[in-house]
Amino acid sequence: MANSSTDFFQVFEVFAKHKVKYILVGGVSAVLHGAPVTTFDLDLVHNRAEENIENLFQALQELHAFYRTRRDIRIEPVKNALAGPGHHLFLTDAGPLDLLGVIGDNLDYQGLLQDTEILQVGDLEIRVQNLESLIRVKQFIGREKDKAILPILIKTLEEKKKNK
Amino acid sequence: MEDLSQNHQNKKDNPVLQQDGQQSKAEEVDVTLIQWMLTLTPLERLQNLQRHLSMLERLKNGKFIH
Repeated sequence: MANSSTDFFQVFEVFAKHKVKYILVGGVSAVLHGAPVTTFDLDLVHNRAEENIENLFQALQELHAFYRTRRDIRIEPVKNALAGPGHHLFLTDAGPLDLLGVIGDNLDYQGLLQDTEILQVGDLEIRVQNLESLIRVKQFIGREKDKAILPILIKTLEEKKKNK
Repeated sequence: MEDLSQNHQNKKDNPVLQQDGQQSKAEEVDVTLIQWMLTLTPLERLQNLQRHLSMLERLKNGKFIH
């Protein structure tokens, strides 16, 4: 049953079980880097290689994902669509989940890889967008909600560098 | 003074920190919250966010009675 609150670890665990390759971006990645912000959804850039799309599709089925953008009809994930560069806004058993083909200046999984760090939590390995890249992407997008969070991200980056 | 100088050096070295408009707003951010977050591990930060969301979910079901 779709959940209105977010259980991040359920998503990470199901994705690990199905060997889905992804990069954690957006607000949750900001929190992991120490930014005091709140977010309600989980933003992931997925690898769009054929094998990964198959794994991702299986994971989404296990999470009972459907597009939350249509309230009048339940639309489930489609492999061909997941292989494209678009954004897929799902509701799942583990809460809202956004799968993003590309972000910012047309950055896909491969393009973002160099700007990531691996976070190890127990047996889980989570690839996370680094803070510098997160700031650059938000500067590029430039929506009001991105501009609002930027001063906090920039200050967090400064403080982290001071602490080094 | 040492901190400011370090800060300046960071901005100079890092193009991400060089956008002045955003930089001045960054000076208005509550740095104590950031410093507290930086004392936590990434896992603790995520757990805090999770707890925060759970709390908001509970509060969402509340009602104002006055």
